[in-house]
Amino acid sequence: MDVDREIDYLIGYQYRSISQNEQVIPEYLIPCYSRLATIANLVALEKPTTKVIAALLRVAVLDEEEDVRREALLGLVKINSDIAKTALVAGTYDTDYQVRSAAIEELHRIDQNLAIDTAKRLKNDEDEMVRDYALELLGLPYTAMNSISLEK
Amino acid sequence: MHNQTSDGKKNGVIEKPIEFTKETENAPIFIPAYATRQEQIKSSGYRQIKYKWTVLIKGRKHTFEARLHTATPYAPVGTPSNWRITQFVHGTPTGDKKRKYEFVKVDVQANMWISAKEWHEAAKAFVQQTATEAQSFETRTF
Repeated sequence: MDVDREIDYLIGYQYRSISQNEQVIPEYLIPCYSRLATIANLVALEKPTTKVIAALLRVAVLDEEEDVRREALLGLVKINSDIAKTALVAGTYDTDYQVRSAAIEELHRIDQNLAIDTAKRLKNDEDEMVRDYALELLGLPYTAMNSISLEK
Repeated sequence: MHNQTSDGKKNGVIEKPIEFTKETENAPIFIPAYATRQEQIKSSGYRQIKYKWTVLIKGRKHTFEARLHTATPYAPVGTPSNWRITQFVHGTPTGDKKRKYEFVKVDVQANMWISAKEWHEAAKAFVQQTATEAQSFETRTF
C-alpha cells in the first residue's frame, strides 16, 4: 500500500476513481466512501507513522462528513490510545451526535476518569443516546425521554 | 410490567401517536412525524436531510437515522435522491454495548439490516473495486 497516496485520499488532495460503479452509489458519495476505506487501510498498518496519526487527527476534527470524523476517531483509538484521548475529548464537542456518542463511549473504555469528567458536560446533551450514556456514567437517573415505546 | 402514569409516560417514556408525513413517503422505512429533521448542504453541492427518532423496543432504546441525499446541482437531469438508513441500539457504560446497523439491499427485491462492520467492509471493497456481488448490493443506495 502506498501510504502517502492513501493520506492524499483521506485529506482530499487526490480522488479515487472507480471505473465500475454501475450506479451502485451516487458519484458524489464516492469521496466519502473512499475516505472511510482509507481510514480502514491506514489503521491496518503494522506501524502507523506520525504522519498517519496526524492525518487521522486532521480529519477527525475537520472532515465535513460525520461518518469520516467518527471512523477517524475510532481508528486513532486502535493505533495510539494516548493521542486518541485528546482527539476523543475534542470529539465530544462535535456537532454530530454519532461522533459525540462514539467519543464518550471510547473515552470511557480507555480512560474512565476522563470520561466521567467529560460526562458532566454531556449530561444535558440534546441527543438521548449521548445524554443517557453520560448520565449513567455519572450514576444519575435518566431524565424524561422523548422516545416512543413500541412495546405492548 | 410497565408503570404508566396519567400524563402518558410509561417507564419514563412519553408515548405519542405516530403520523404519516408527506415529505418522507418515499423513504425505504417509515419515518414518523415526530422525527427531528436537520438539513445541511455539503461542499460538493448535495443536500443532506437527516431524520432522527428514538423508540423503545424490548426494553432497549433504538435510534433510527434516515439520511436523504439529493442529487448535486450539476448531476444529469433525473438523477434521483437516495436514502441511507442507520439504526443504533443504545449501549450503557455498565452493560450492553452499543450496536449499529445499516439498512441495505440484499438483492433486487429484498432489504435487511446488517452490522455496521459488514457495511464498512462492503463499502471499502466497493471503492477498491474488490467487492463481491453481495457486497455491491450492500453498498447500493435506495
